[in-house]
Amino acid sequence: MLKYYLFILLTFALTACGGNESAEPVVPNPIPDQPPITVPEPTPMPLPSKNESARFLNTASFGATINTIDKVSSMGFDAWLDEQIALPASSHVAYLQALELTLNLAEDEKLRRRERLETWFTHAITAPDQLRQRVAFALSEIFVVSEHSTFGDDTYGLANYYDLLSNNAFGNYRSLLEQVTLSPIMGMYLSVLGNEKPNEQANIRPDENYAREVMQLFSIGLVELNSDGSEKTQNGKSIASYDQEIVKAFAHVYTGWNFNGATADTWWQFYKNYNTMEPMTAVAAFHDSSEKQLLNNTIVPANQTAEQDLAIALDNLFNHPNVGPFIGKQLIKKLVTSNPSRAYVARVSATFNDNGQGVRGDLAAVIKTILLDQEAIDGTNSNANFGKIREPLLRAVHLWRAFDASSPNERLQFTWPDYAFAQSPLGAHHVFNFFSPDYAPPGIVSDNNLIAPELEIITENYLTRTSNFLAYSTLWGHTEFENENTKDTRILINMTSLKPMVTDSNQLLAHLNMLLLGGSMNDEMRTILTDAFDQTRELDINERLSNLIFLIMISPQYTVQR
Amino acid sequence: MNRRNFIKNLLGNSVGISSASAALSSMALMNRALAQTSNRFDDYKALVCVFLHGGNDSFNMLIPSDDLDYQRYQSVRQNLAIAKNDLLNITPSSAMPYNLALPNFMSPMQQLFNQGNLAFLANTGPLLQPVTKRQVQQNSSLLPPQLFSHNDQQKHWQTAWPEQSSPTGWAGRMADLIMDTANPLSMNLSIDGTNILQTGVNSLPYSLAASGVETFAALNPNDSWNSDRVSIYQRLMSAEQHLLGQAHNAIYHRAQSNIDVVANAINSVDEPTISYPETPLAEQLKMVATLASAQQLLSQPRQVFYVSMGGFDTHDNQITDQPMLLQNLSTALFAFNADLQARGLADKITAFTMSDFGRTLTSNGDGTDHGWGGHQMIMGAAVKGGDIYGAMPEDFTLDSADDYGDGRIIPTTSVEQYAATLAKWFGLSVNEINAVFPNLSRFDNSDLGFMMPS
Repeated sequence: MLKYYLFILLTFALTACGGNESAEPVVPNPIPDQPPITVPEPTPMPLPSKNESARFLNTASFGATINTIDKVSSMGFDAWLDEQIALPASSHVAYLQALELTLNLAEDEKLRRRERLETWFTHAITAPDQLRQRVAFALSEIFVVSEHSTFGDDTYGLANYYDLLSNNAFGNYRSLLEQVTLSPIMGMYLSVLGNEKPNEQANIRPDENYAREVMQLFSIGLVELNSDGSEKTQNGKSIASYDQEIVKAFAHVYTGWNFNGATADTWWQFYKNYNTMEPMTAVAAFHDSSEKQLLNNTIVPANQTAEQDLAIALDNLFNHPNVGPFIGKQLIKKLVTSNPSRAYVARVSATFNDNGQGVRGDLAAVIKTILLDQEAIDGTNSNANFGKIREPLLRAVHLWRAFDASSPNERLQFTWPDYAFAQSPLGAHHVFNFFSPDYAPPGIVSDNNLIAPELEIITENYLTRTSNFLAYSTLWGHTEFENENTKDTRILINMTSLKPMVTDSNQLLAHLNMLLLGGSMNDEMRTILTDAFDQTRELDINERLSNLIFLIMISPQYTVQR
Repeated sequence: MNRRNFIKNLLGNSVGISSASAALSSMALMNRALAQTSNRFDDYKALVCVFLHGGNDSFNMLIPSDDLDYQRYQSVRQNLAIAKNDLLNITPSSAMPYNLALPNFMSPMQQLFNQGNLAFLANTGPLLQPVTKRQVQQNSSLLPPQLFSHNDQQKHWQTAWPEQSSPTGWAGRMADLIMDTANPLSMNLSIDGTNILQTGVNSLPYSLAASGVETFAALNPNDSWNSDRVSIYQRLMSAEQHLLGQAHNAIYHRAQSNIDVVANAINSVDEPTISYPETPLAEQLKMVATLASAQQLLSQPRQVFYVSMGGFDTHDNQITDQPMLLQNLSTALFAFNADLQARGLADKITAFTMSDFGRTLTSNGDGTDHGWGGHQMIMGAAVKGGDIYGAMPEDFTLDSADDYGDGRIIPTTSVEQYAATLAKWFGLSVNEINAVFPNLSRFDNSDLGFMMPS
């Protein structure tokens, strides 16, 4: 709508200055002092309202807060995005290092999952580079590695992988793909690390794990796509993007890599070489230097180094026309809506293919296109099915952000997200993530040709657990329950700012509508919640407020980010 | 027209996919219309799918043990071969192309096999029709879609119908036909979350944890102090217009309408008299035995359970990991079987494995890659145990007629044949079986014979 408004303004300006035609004989005008057509100063886009800002922040951060709403509504979406993109990445590794210094660990102790989760929650709830952290989380659900593996207790290694994702969130996809490929954590997770050239005598051939999954999940997908994300077809059937021969060829490319600094002599010494803080390096003796034929008949010539082979292979994937729609559509689904129109996907693909300056793979431009797209801005105004089920884990984060959560022990520790949400950071049970990007439950979703990926993990039992988590964290999880025990690790919400509004339920609900629902509360919901608030008239103010927050947080209206 | 004739007429006209689909949905509709009650079955039976996520390397599970064939096995598998000293011989009732053994870390399975409570189904996997190596080399359209891809092959195992546009699983379709539509609790119970196997056109699995069900803390209508809040929540749900929100509401309603009956049923069951190992799979199977014991309270004459175990995608460290995996699997199944025997349920419950695919006979250095056919296990007192069904590969030579390449073995038995054999024991009629497995007629045998006649 904003763009349209600007267009009208410009058109009007042009007409007013240059279109004053008449039938009178043309008298040459003296050359005016100023040109008749002045290009107006770019009219600043009208600033978004607070509700619009909150709604935007629910896609562009871990959820709206009073401070970020104020900021966005005073800067506008575009400027806020630029500021966020320019912010340096806050590092999970650096946080862990600083934390470790304060902990006086015994010699045989080390940081564990608990501290890694604390790091993640602390960043999700409080980091200033919210957009980057949010996109990194989305990337962690595409470029999946998991603690459910041999390196699951490598706290720094996992955090370092997460930092890799946030460092590259606004960089180029090609660089992200290369750094993921050379990450020793990914190397262990999908077996590039230690992958050796063929040994025919022992029937040993290169490991196909990464070769397959990087195509299926991280770059091009199983079938050929149009730029709008729809499947290309031939005789009514989809067209496979690759076959087993291509997988084998890439498997040969990804040979010869090991921990940073490993040599031909130390190739087999896993523990001695172990280093998850630096990218893998190649060992020529273990690289297969035969010729390989990749996608689109691209040839990797014989007798090249592992690095040269890898560069061709990653370029081969990067330049495949599927990447824009395949990765772009997934990012739309993770951030904005489960069921984007083809046109929306096509616009995002176009940005991936060319950021306007001839650069392919510019992720900052892709993210901006996703978040500023007219379909994202219009939301349910133009499509009743717009939106997505919020990821259960992110409901917790938003609650704690929105109400300035803190803990008596002054840290943000939460160790059982997998129990409550069937999700935890870098905690998927396989490389296919917690839920499939295409999951459509039978019934009302499938019947309407929609998908709802997040519902794959919201089973009867997990819906109950998430609802109970929200009860513990609101009804019995506010600062009124604070105690003197500085070892108390509960994260408590703070409702102080709501208390002055308690005498005016309209004002209170308008505030919660903005903060939690991005202004989407309709009259019916307002009536229901007003009744709820009135029913609790006799109760303590904290009980009244927390009850209202709980009801909003479990409502289907909140559950669907829209 | 009685039910049988109605179905006959329907199926008499059904050729091809859309009509198979139509037949199924008509039969499902009819099931609804009949408001079928538990009267259809006067006995109790349950199936337990044990899904081995990642693709179990089952060619290290049934190992040729006579000298020549062991040598062939060892020469193709090299450093992944199980040492000959570590083999436990088994003696299947049927003739095999060579002698066979289990690895010693599966000794509990040897015991069950010898007792007649365990059977193997050899070299089974996704197929569109029976194929030879020559045929698939000449015509790739005979290959199942996205062969070697984890999730696609899992889907094939669980749907047994790769051509569907919106996938349903074969246990879900069974439920569509035979479930008691008056019972809010699904015939399909999952101890491992959402899965396609148990998703039908009209039916979904009810999902609970190995620890049971959690009750609502602040939305429990049984607590009077919650009643205002519960009624507000109900109003909020009714006010929701968004389809995704309505789908979320539906999950709440399924949870709420089953929570009390399931929790009470679980509480009514005695603790097992045997001890289960402390592994995730064993915990899941323990809950299965509990829910099976409570089937009368749950009004479920038929139950299908879904449990799973992960970690079978052994691209790396197979020599270290595989013994642990198969040992954990074996001890969990063994304990489950002992518990069922103690509870008098062993002949009523049949557990069976499925897995994405078998794995390459060749090594990638320290592991194996995605293959195709593989062996499965079927356990229970209703199983004609002590035997191997299907056909073992002729030999373990690379590039043999069974080898699609690098030791990816072309299946000789299809998922449909396997599942249909189980469905028949479960009590589905021939017509119902044909409706659930539309591709079954492409294979020559719809009963592989590993179940006792019911």
